[in-house]
Amino acid sequence: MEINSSHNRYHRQLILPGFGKEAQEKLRNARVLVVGAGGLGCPVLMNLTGMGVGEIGIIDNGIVELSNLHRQLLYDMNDIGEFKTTAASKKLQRMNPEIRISSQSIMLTNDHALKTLEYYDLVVDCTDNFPTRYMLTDACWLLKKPMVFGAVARYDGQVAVFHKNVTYRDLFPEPPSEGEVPDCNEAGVLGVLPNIIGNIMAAECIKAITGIGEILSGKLFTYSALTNDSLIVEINASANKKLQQPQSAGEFEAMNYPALCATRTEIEIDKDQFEKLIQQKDVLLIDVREPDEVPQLNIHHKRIPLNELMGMSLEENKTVVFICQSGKRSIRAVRICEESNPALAGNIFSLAGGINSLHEKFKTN
Amino acid sequence: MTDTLTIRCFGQLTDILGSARLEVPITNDSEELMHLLLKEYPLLKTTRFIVSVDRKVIREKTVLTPGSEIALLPPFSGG
Repeated sequence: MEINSSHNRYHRQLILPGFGKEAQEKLRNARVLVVGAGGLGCPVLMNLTGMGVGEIGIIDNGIVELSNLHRQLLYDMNDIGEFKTTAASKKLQRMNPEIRISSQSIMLTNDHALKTLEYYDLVVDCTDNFPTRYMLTDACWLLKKPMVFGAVARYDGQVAVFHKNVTYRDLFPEPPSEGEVPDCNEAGVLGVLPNIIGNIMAAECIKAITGIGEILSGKLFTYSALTNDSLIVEINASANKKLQQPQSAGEFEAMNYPALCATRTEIEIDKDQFEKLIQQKDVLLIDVREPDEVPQLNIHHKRIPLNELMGMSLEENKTVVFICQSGKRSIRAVRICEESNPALAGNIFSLAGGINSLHEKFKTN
Repeated sequence: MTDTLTIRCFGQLTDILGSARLEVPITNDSEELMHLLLKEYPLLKTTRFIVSVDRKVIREKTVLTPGSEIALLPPFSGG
């Protein structure tokens, strides 16, 4: 690294009392792995790159899509269709050629996570799904790697730093099953929100590496962009988590993380079962998508958006089938209706794969 | 002194409770409070969340006093 150019590049933080050359040197020697290059990954990567973290690894198997650009500000129209890792590496390297960036366009799984993580000093959880998040927190715990965690939904976000004996499992010991917690595709996310949360995560990374300030070690920060309400709570290591958490590399590699978050299969029906079921006259079909979503169903059904479903009572002696675009909101609809209509439990189903899985004859555009 | 508790909530819980802040009559402890909330908002049973009292995540019955700060925190999926 050329000292003069570096001195110039980092001048404004080098002159900071409490930061200076020593902290800059720590950043230069640090290796950070960012898992996920989406809403949270973009701001984390941009900040770590700008500030001069010496070596950054990026893992993401996604491709840049138009619906990413409102929040994933590292990408532009020319990147659509490109691997996020490729587009991100190119831009980040242009931002700061003095650092090393390596990337892998893969989905990180427990087959190779321990080997991949080993090389790095710090892991940043920018993942967008629970199976990977639980896999990552277990891997970091086994390797004793500090991890900066972040997650977002709609207008709210969370940040925490897990190291020593506290992990994500001390917050939520077991993963929610699919459909229990809506993801960004289903619930939406305000574009600026992951950028706020990702920037806070980047600050935690920088503090963890350089030792300045106070990190959210064993603490959960929660923030609402709608109200500016925020809260920091302490998390204690629970003895409980030992029950769910793999205790060795062998146990870790034998885990089936996707299955931990799997849906209760008894509430899902496939398209063949669906076709048979709708022949029966006591079946109530409810589409829980928003009114403007297409294609329309052209068979007899009711349309009740998911958020209007809460507390609604349904006719007894009916079999109810919920349907949405991809089969996620409809799972949530089953849970909601089972709660307000206990008499119907066992007779409420979700169409797996949603309207996407149905034959064209059931749809009108 | 006040005879109500203020509960803050985040994420999808605001849909269920109808707002991000809620006043409820004071209860002796966190178990009584959860009982009251689940009775009033049965949809809470369909989703996952943790409870913090005075800025600490609690897992066991915790005594509440007027002024106890309570928050319900759900897991977020997105990244």
